[in-house]
Amino acid sequence: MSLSKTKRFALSCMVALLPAMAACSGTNGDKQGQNDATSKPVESAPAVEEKIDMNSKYDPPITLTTFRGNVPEYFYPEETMDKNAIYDAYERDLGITLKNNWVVDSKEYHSKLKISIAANDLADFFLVSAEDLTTLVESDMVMDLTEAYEKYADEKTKKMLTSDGGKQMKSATFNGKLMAIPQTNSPFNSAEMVWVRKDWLKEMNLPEPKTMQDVLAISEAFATRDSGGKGKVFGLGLNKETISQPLGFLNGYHAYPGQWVKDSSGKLVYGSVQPEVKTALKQLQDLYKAGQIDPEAAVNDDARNVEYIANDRLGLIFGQFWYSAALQDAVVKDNKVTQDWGVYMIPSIDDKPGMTQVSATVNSFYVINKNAKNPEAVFKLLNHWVGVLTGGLPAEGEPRAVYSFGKELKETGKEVWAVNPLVVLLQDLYIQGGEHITEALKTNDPSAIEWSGDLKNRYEQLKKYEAGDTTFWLQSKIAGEEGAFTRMYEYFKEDRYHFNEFYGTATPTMIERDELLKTKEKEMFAKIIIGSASIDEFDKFVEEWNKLGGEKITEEVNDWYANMQ
Amino acid sequence: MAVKVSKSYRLFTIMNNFLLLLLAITCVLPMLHILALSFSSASAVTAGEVTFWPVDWTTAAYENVFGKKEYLVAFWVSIKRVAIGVTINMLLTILIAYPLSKENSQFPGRTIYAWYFVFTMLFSGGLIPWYMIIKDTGLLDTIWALVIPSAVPIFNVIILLNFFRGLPKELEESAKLDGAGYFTVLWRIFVPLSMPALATLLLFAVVGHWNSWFDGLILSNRTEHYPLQSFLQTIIIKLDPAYLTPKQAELNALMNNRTSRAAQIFVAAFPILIIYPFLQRFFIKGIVLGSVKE
Repeated sequence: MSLSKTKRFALSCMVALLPAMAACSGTNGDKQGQNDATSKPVESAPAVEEKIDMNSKYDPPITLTTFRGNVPEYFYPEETMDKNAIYDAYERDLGITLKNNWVVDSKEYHSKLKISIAANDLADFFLVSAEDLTTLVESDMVMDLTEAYEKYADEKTKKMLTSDGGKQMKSATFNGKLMAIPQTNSPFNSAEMVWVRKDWLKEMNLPEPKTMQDVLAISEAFATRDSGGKGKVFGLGLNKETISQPLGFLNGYHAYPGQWVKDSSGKLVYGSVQPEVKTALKQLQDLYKAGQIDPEAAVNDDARNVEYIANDRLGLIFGQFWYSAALQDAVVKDNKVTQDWGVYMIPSIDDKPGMTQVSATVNSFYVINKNAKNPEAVFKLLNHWVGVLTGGLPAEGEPRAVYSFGKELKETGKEVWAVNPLVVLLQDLYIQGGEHITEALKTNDPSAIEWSGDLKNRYEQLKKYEAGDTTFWLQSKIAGEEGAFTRMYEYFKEDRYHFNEFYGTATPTMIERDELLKTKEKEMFAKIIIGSASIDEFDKFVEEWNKLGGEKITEEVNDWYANMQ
Repeated sequence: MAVKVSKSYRLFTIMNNFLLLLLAITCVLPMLHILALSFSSASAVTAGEVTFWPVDWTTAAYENVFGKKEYLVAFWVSIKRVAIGVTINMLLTILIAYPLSKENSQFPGRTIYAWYFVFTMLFSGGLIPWYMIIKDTGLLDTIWALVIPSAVPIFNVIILLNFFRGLPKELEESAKLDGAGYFTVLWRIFVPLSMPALATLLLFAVVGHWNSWFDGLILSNRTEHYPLQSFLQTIIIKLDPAYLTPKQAELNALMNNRTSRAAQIFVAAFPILIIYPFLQRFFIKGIVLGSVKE
């Protein structure tokens, strides 16, 4: 195998050499060309690719290899990640034969990838995490895409990838070179919301959580409830993750842990060491002391909170838009909805509006192997996918419907589109969902969301819920009236997304110290909340944070910030 | 013959039994809990009502498991793996243990060989070299990658070697006088006499192959080639939140089905549970016999 690889490599070098040889004359030129080809085979490649028409199909077909994470739910019977209608369609329409070097369960993708990286056994293009991207760039295993992107990505693609002003693209840029295609995604999806038992609010004459004071009052009141012998009722739900990162609660105090925020002098400072955090943690400590937070919260995972909720022992928790999916089994018993939940935006402790913290950085990227023979083919895939995504809803049975719906060529409720080998996502899909779905339900006209399989699917499920199918209760809280999508849209309208001001790649000191500092921070937060450290320890933590590298990181981040202006 | 037992001795026996019983119960309870979960309704499980007895009895989880193609495929891979792997294990264990059980005078260099094997037990090349060797030998993504790297269980070899040494030398000598060669002695005298020990080792080998999951994850390039325990691992572990987008978190929450997971765990453990009682009588005898020398 290694022999044929070297042969192929030599062949591609020779092909790359031809124009150079034709252009130069004499032995001198010949030598130069050779040097070029051996030292920088990648840069010499475009010489041949010049002739490639981005709209044409490869004939004969070329092969692109990749790695895939598998989710069995994507497929119709008899189809696999290796053999499916979507891969066939790429061969039919673009002349690109997709070959998976390996397919593992999606949960194992990143560990399997680490081994392939260590063994230097890479496919032509594949998805990597932000962490692995840094490794790959440092060990010079992936291609510099700066030129290729300019040349091969079409206008639509560029427009879509930079629709947030280019922040997500920036996160794939190292020293001014674009090293990967960011898998753009919605930064808004990680918005935090308040999930609360509405039936209890009514019963106890409590206000909806419009301010943080309301939230505290609700927590206090809920904690006095009687669960009917099922155990003590708690006011506010935390688990072992959220107790060290209580994002939603802290955001209500204008504290943004983990983010870089602009201070009054216009400099960037680290959110976790600001005085607002101290105030909020003190409040949580008081709640904990008053018995409103589960004393075992620091060791329990979220399944425990769901268990409390099922037993009427908890009715207030911070969570993301999908939290009702976790609650489904707790709320729906014997096909009956037994609890009434409401979703609200993060309130505020003072007269400034509460904001929810989100980050523009991307967690996953597509990279192209340094030795890939057809990097432009990857951009063909990208352009093609963007065309699918923005090309409107295909009519049933139309050949191009295959990319959205698979071999059935029509909406079946499966997320078949995820089989596409290169997928970037719209940045504001669910905000559009919040804007249009409820309207569509009222008017019975889903034309505003027809273009998106995801939103259309949710719309269909809401229809079924309205018709009495309680298995879709969770969707009614996500996409339904007054649901999480509505809130995401309202955040957007009212400009209440708080973005991390820093969206570059990790600075040198960050790479070295970040993990240690984050661990310290999380430990401190949890300790303060459960009262094993007094609130004054927070100041000591801030001091220590600065000493252990925080100061240096702040400098580096501000240098970056000054460069960005 | 009646032996008079002192009071304190009887007390000791009672305490001893009591403590061992407690130990046994702590081993059985988690299994019972999983079994109870698998026969309960999803809402009862979410509400934490199930401990050791099913609530809202239902077999839905099992219907789900046996209707799941991937699960059955993985089950079949595991069965193949055990059949091939255990055969190789046992054959090689016997073939290696026999010569190594001889004295240095009979088998010059025996000590060197023995240490050669023990060395691999103590030191290994590490994960990446291990992976690269398997990849470069073309075993990757085949059933052989799961059985060949673990073909010689050194620990088992040492047990069997010691067992062979415990057998009377006179048996071998007399067989030789009657004209038997080494192979005849091994297959017609040593192996039949060592049945208890072999049954024990067989159990070790079966359990080892059935339960190993890590190699399956690393060495398979297709989910269809996962053995059962690797497959189980992928449905039971939680995604690292660092890699989890909110959209994936939603999918994850939707698939959070503890009853189905419990059923899959139980079905996977079942074959071993069944084998144990049958091999157990050998198991006890095997250990005792191996420990007694003249």
